Amino acid sequence: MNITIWSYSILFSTSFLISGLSQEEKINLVLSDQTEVILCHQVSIEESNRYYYLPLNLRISRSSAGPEFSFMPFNTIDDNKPPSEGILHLLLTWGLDTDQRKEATRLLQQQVDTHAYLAGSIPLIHDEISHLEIIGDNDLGQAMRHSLNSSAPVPLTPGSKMALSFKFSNENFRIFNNALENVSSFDKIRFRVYLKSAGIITRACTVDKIILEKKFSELIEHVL
Amino acid sequence: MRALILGCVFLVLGIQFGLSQMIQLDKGIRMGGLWCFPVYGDSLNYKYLPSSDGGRIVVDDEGLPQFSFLRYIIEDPSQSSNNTVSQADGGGIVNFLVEYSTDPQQITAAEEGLKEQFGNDVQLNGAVLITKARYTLVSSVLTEDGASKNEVLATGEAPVLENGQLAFSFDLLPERSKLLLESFKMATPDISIIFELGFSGLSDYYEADLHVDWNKVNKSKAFGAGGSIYFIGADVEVGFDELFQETAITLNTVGSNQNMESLLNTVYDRLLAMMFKEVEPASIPTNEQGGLMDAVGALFGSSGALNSRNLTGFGLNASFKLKELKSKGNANLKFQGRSTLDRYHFVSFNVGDLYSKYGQDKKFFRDVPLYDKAFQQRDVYIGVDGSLEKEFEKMVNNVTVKLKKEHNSTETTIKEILVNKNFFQNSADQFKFTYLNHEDHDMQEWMEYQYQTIWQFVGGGIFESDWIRAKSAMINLYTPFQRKEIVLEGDLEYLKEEGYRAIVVRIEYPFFNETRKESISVRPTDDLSTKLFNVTLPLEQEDVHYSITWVKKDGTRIQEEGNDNIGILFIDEIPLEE
Repeated sequence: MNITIWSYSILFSTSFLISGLSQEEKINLVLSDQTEVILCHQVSIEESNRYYYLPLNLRISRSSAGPEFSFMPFNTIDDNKPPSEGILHLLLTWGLDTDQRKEATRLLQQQVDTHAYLAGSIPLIHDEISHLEIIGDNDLGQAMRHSLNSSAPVPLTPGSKMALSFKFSNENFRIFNNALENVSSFDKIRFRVYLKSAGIITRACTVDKIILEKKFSELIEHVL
Repeated sequence: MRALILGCVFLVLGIQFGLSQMIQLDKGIRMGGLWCFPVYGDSLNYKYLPSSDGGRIVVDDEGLPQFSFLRYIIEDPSQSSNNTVSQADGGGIVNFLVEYSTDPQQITAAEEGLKEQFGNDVQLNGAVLITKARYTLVSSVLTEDGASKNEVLATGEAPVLENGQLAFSFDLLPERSKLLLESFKMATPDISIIFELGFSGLSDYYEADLHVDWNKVNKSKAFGAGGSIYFIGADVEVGFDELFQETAITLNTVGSNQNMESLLNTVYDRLLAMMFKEVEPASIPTNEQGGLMDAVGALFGSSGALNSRNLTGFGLNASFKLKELKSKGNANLKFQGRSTLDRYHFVSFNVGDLYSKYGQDKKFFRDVPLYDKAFQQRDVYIGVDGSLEKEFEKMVNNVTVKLKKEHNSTETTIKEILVNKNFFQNSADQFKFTYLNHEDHDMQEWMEYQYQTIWQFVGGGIFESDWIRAKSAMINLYTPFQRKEIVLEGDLEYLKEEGYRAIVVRIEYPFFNETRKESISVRPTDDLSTKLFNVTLPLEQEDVHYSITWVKKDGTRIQEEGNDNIGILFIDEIPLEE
């Protein structure tokens, strides 16, 4: 299950000072695949039929070769001995896919009018708030946090990717490798991506920090 | 109450010409997988951001990737010579070019989508101007301590234009080289590249009124609780938030426009100018600094990210002095216009499944033994069998070992080593030949050499072997002769009864460059078991020539000659007299 958290007014918001908002600023949609989409109407001085969706659907990205996920166990001392280290490389992305976006646009137009359109996801900016956090209050969570070797900035647009490279050694490898044998071991590990809104949306959608969160077991369920 | 009305119009725009090239950030729309923005002042003219999927390894005109992974192996001279299997030195060099670009078909699809949405007059005219670009490399293999040099950079400057190429080259230690090769065999190798593209655009137009109630501001504790008049930027921001909460300051936007980042930046800047004066921390009297220096230090500490945050246009770590606020009544400020904002766009990609396509193609993946033959040398050791050591006390004075190597260059290397009884007291390294590579391109042939041994025996005998072809790294010396016992058998009683007085046995055999002769006389009363020959024969010599003479009591003699190779001579088999 996708978990999206909209953190209201974490830093500074003038939402409590603003008046004159339209009544259709936020629209909740449920797509045929049960994906819940929240659309925000961009209301400015200039009239607009423009809607943006809040980020959702954190997942492992796919290329033509399949899911962009690899785990390579190895033993640098002796090939004949069991692996003692491993490198995990994966790419994360988020957002509606093409079919979902078409369906969301259709539902939006049904609900508002045919002039309404889905412009994309809400604009995000890159700052220190934007980052990935690996949540998990157990040895496995600790092993993954300690083993995250390099990573890229979080994606600001749907379809963009965030690359992560983990280097597991010794005990951390053992913990992670054992967990792979039973994917439910990752139920308590969650990947949480913090995103920062550019802040041009309306009061009903006033968000400062957006959190996308998913269990690691769900992220990799179609990979392993 | 005296009302002070301030009217200000802040136009944050530059000259119209400069703006005409700017995109309107708040009018972005995603079409055909591309983010498209209208140009300010020309709503029919759109620009696109490079495709998020547009990162890739550069391909040449034939569609082949500009990529190579060379693993090289060099002999490690530091390895012990006692090991027949040892670790060679070497590593790997991986080179590749990357770029980001947008598929023309994607651009066409995006333009068609824009036309469908906004009318046929809309055009998608090129990419958004990228003002700065950096790359980030995500890899455990390439960026950890696996690279042999510290020059590997995980991040750096990147091209700002689409199709601009960026070259990567990494020199890897052997272990990392192997890891990378194995990683390349996976669909998602441990190399991802992220282009971080910076661009600018205009905010949406805003109109807002800022109302300051000075009476409330003066009564507020937002900037008076600590008793200090010096603040850092972060505290100023918190204080402004507090004033907004207390409605000492209110912001009313015109229409439905609201908390745009650009508007807030402008509002905060104006409030700052009204209420504060920036100061150099060093100029603040020590007794008035309060906790300001600590606060500045904290911003650079563990939460160091804070000092790069600049939400309101003034640095959070800058220092400010609160002005003496004498204003009363209300102040109204009007804001309208647009602001220039900086944004970032990321193009990320994994280098992908190169190995399955090109793993067998030597143009892309190659292992090479990398050494210069001209610097090679061959060591050939002399090994001496333990039995030979004893012979140096008995029969052998010395052995000269010669090695001859005929090179491909027509040069010939000839070397010799003298082995004597002192040999065993010296280190083995003194008894090795070394020859170089003189245009010996065929390594199998280069290994071949010839050797010869020259033996000098006690008493002056010499044995010179033929030249022997060999390939091994060891010439084993073994004694070129054999010891053999030739015993005499026979019934002495019978010989006595037959009237024989004595039997003389002579043997004759070659010993290298001489002929050795020995004889034994036997009488019927002798103990035959003590009558035997101990001979030393060359290895290839099996036969010993013998003659046996039987002498009767009357002086007559019978003689027989022959060759023996079994080591027994029967002296009671008397040939018949003719």
